[in-house]
Amino acid sequence: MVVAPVSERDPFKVDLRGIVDVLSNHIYSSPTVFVRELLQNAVDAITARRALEPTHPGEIAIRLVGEGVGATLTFEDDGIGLDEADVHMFLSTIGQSSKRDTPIDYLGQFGIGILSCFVVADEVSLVTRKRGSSQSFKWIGHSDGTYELAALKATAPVGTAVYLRPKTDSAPLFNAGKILDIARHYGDLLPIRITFTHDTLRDEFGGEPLPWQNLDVAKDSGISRILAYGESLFGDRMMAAIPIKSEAAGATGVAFLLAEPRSLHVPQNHRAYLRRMLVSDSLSGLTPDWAYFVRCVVNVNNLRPTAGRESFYEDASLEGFRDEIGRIVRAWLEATSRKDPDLMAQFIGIHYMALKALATQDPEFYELFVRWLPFEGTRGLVPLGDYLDCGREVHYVSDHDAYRQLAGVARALGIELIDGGFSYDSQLLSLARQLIGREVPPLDDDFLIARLADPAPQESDKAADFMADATRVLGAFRAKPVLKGFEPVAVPALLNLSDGIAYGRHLRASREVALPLFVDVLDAISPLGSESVPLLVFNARNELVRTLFGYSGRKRDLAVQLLYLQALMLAHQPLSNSELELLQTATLELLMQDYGPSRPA
Amino acid sequence: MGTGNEADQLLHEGNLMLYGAERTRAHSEAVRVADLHQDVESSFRARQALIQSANMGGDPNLALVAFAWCLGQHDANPDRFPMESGGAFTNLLWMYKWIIERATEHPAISRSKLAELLTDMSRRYAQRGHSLRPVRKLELWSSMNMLDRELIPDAIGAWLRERRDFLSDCLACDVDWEAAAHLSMQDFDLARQAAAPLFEGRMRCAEVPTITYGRFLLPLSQAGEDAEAQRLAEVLPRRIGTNRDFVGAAGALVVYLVEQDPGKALRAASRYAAWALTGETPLRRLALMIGLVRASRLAREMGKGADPLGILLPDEPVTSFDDGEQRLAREALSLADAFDQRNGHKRLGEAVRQHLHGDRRWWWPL
Repeated sequence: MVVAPVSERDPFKVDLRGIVDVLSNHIYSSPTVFVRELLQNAVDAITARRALEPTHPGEIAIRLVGEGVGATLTFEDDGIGLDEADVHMFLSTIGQSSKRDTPIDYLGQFGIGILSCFVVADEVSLVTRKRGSSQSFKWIGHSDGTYELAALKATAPVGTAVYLRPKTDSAPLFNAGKILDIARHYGDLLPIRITFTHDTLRDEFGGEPLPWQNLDVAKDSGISRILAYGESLFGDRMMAAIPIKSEAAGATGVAFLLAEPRSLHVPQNHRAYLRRMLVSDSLSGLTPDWAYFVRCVVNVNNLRPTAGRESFYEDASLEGFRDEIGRIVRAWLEATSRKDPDLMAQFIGIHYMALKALATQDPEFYELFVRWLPFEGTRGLVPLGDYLDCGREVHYVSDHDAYRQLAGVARALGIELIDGGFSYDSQLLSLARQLIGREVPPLDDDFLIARLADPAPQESDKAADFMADATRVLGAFRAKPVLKGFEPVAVPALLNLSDGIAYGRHLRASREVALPLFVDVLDAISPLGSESVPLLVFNARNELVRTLFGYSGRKRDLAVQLLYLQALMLAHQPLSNSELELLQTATLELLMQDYGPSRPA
Repeated sequence: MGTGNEADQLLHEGNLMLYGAERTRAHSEAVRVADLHQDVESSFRARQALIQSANMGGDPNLALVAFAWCLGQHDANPDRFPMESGGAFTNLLWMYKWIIERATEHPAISRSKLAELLTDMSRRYAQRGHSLRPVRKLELWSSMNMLDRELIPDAIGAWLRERRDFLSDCLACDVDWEAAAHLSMQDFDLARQAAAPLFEGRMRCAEVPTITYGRFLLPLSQAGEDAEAQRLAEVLPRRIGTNRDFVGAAGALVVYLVEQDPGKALRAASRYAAWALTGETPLRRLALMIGLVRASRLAREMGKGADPLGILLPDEPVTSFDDGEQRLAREALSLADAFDQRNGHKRLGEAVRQHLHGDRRWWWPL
């Protein structure tokens, strides 16, 4: 069945106030962007005129007459100007831009720039004359969505002048200091001279080469000037500057290395210009995540801005530029490690945490720098290279408690031990074989058991009963005993806890409190009995342990239980509810027993 | 607070790290310290952080263990250990989504146990008046991962009909799953259309679009979109980094490179080899196992020496190159068969057998 249309095709109706509300509340982060939009239109108009007249210098004049309510702000350019058709098409049609799909490098392209003026003014006036035309026009736009256009009898200069009078709530913005600051903020690097006047105040900016364009960072004078520039931009002390150049992004700039350590989670706040107009002074995502010790200032030509022009689209071009900056920073670090070891040592001293994070992410970086990075261990806090070149076996343990427990044992065995409990260290050391062909293995159960000395045969015979009892007693805790002789003799037993064992302890703690449904799920994923088994390594040289060889029965069982619990506590392991209960009952039971061996050894 | 601040300090230190093994380790250590001090509130907070880190850092078993503890504590003492407090990442109902998502990807979790988990989750959401959209989404995910293709269209509808609320996933994640659902039905065009905002860079979150790129890499290549596939292959290594959460993307990348760029394929295979046997869920690791088997075969054809990829199994050192390849292939097939037994059909085993020989084109759910 065909239904008769209720009406012919109607155009959408646009509520200008609604659009302005969307702009001010959702697209632009600040009402001050109207200054950027007007500067942008002026630059684009001059660019268009230069396409016809390459020698035209171009100039933009900003004038503020009065301040606050009743002030008039004028933006005047000597660009290409508009004729009547242009005015209807580009000023009065929302979303229409003269600059889209043209081969000329314009700043704007969304056709919404002039609307930003309505965020601060109820009325926008514009006087314009197009190059090659003798007719001048005056256009007045109102925030209610209407506009008037009149041909002028007088002849205006070629170009465009925009006049704004503030809304009441925007009046404080129409202040000479504020307008000048905002215009400089957005336009300080524009390639066109901009003058600002208010009463007797006159200032000029723009039309200069980019600050980093003619600086030679290889020379002392160049580096000190560029570092001072970086420090003034970012408010942070900088220790080095790396030139950035990218053909693909049409970009130049500088990456500054911070002279103080930073967390990975502090926003990176780069400063980016698009065709020399400021896009953002707090742009994140311009560098790879690992490069969080870097702050960049860049001017790009080939990245796509978002509609609010306050960041770039997260597309392949941005991704490529980000990777390129990463490569540049990495190449600089590599070159510095060869040419300027002092600067490199200074850099590593400040940023070693960041560099460690980076080395875990990037195998090439790891290969280049891991030997420089400091590790804490039996040689003190020294670069990994010192451990690797010392001519002794090097191992690591993955937590501080294990290190504290095993450092003395390792020293006695002539082994260098690294405390891998610090952030990233275990992960970095575990990659050494794969990435630099040097084995730095963890000090695991097998290694420990293999390297600790076996007790003498006669001692083993004496200990046979003890070990049989210990096997039975520790079986209840899913642990196994081993008998070795090791230094220091004061240590009666070591508890070897690998990552798998830590997981098993988490698992048992959860099983104690979980709902039946989750106990089933835990059992399905990690069946009971499949966990790694902790080893309790008794020291046959320790007096307490040797004394226990001569005991038997319940008293010895209690002592083994207490040695196991003591080892857990010395390893700073939390006790489960059942272990806590055992600690109390075993201690109490031991206290209730008579002293002395229950039978002769 | 009796934690001596050490647990809180470890929590804070972990929070400053990227997701991955190191962050998980810092939060695991915070749990140990809090437990050591018998400070149960602090243990609860530390486990909440651990659930997030382990889930986003490629260790879902550890996330599950911590979640089971937290939920048990809540049920025993709801006022002391609230189900919902603060933001999403201290909200057990939010975390429940992660737990069930990963549970569908483990062959040892039966259909009936999954149904019980979904019922429990649904009851808890309904009790607090929350939308059941996340439950419906997980029912869809479950159908996708169990290759119940006939159930997927209705499951998509049921999910999208539910209203969004603050426990719903972010928009980027929703778009990614919708696209994945179309991929699972082998409708590439619809999937591509659904994923457009992600490819255009208009949406992202912690996992998206990295995970999306991994899902689409091979289908794009098969559809003849070579330039886009190549772009994804170039950006994926940086996005994957050292986070095992992206093991699926790493697997797809290795398979793609085996077909497109042998030199890069061997480097990538070597880099990710250690991820094939531990961490993340078995379903996500399957793709990498297949990639490694094919990369090993490629290395052999290129005349490389024994075990060029360093594929060493933890219990038994691989002594020859063929051993590693064959053992991984056996492991992959045995996993696929375990999934098939759970799922009640033979779809995954059949797919894995074909993928291992490089003669199957479609890719989901690997």
